[in-house]
Amino acid sequence: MSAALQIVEPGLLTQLQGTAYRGRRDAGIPLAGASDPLARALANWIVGNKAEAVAIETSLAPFAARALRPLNIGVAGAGAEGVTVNGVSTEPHCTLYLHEGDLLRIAPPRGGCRTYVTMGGGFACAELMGAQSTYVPGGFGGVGLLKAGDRLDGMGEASAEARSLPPELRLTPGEAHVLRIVPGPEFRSDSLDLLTRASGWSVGRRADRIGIVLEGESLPLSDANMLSSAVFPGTIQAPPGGQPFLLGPDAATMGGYPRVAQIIRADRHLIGQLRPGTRLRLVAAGPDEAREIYKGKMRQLRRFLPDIILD
Amino acid sequence: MIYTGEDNLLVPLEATRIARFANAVRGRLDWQDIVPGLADCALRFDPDKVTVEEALAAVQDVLAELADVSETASALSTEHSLIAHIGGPDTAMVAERLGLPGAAALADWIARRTYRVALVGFQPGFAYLDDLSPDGLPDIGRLETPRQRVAAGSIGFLGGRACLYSQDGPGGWPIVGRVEARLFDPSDDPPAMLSTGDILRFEPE
Repeated sequence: MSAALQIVEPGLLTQLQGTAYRGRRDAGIPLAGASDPLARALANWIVGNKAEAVAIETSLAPFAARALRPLNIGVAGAGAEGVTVNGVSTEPHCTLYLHEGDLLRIAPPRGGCRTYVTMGGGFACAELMGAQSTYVPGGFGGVGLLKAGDRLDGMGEASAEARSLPPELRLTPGEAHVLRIVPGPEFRSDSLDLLTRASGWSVGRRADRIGIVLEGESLPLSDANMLSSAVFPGTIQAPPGGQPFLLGPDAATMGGYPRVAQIIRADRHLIGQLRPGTRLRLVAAGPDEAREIYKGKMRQLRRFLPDIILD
Repeated sequence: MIYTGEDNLLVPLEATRIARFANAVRGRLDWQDIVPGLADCALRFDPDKVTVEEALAAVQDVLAELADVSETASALSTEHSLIAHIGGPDTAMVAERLGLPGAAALADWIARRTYRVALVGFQPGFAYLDDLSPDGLPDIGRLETPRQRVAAGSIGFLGGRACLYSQDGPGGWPIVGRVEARLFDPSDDPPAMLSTGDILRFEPE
């Protein structure tokens, strides 16, 4: 393992994300892992890695890093169309070969929120509880938030093969989003009607890995006193303030607010691309329909990414 | 009524039956998560591996089996006795609510209580505790303004309910002391010391 990449411009909330902390919610440990695991898997594919190999997850701001030795790099997610090496534009969604000293830069994305930067073999990251994910609110995992000057080591063998994503997987997040929901345990028809209204919602300024405030109208307040119960990434809560709160991978595992809806499994990875100020429409689906959508999506994705996992 | 979502079920349960249910259902299917709440247990599964019919059938089977079992605490629960230092910032208020003269009396009082771990959540390793004999205990409210920083190990106290903060961070419960034990260590296996259904007592020093 030797120093591979040095961070020059860190971006926002930049952190390493590999395999998630699965099956630990009963100890109060959230999933963590990539906010958009599909984009991360695609970036990993470009450099011949497994879907969950440790990648850099960065948000919104410009990101730049310098190669400390020859490397192959993949970029997918928001801003994949704005990647330069030493100031020169690169072909999006293809393996990039960097020489020692080359500067990789990703411009602030036009649409979407999160970008994944991968390296052949993956980035070195200590294993904790059998996983390799950063959980910033708990202060463990990964190497914390990446700052300018940080050096990342590589690990494993890099594949020399040049790869290019097929057109249908060159997924570039847009500036508006449509996500499907099923009713939650405390659903109310008036709340669901509001959530699925045609005018949609605005993604609030508070939008991070813990959760996203949806701005628009206030959900009706519940007079029922809810005893603490499990929540999951994709749960939409109706807190006392009225603004719906959509939970992300770093949200605490228990909640005391009514759970009005749940983003369907096939769409949960898109939560990672919700960017403050953009429009979001929520569309209702039934649980059976949601399962069929998920199974169909996994069948299609596995043809290309055999080890993809969507939680 | 069991809530049936796309990939999760929510089973309403009496508090005293949750740990037993969670343990019994664990081996029936390849669940992704089994997460006890205060009055329920959530179960998450992968619809690609488990059908919702299989999931519901497993739950119904376990509920039927448990219906025949008495509700008394299982002899198989893990028991903990945690060394505690009583005397946090809200000790005087809590002692008064309990009709006790002060911190020393509160320490003697709390040493005689027995708690069951109701759930672990809010923070990794954070435990919510239920007094096994809550009748007659006062209903102490949460603080008007939560504290910005409560130290790891702090004991929160609301009367029939208590809690243990597993890491430094904000906290809204009245604080009456601190345990010495490390409640959560991500490099340990298992990482959290406490689980739903465990029995716990405090040993004031």
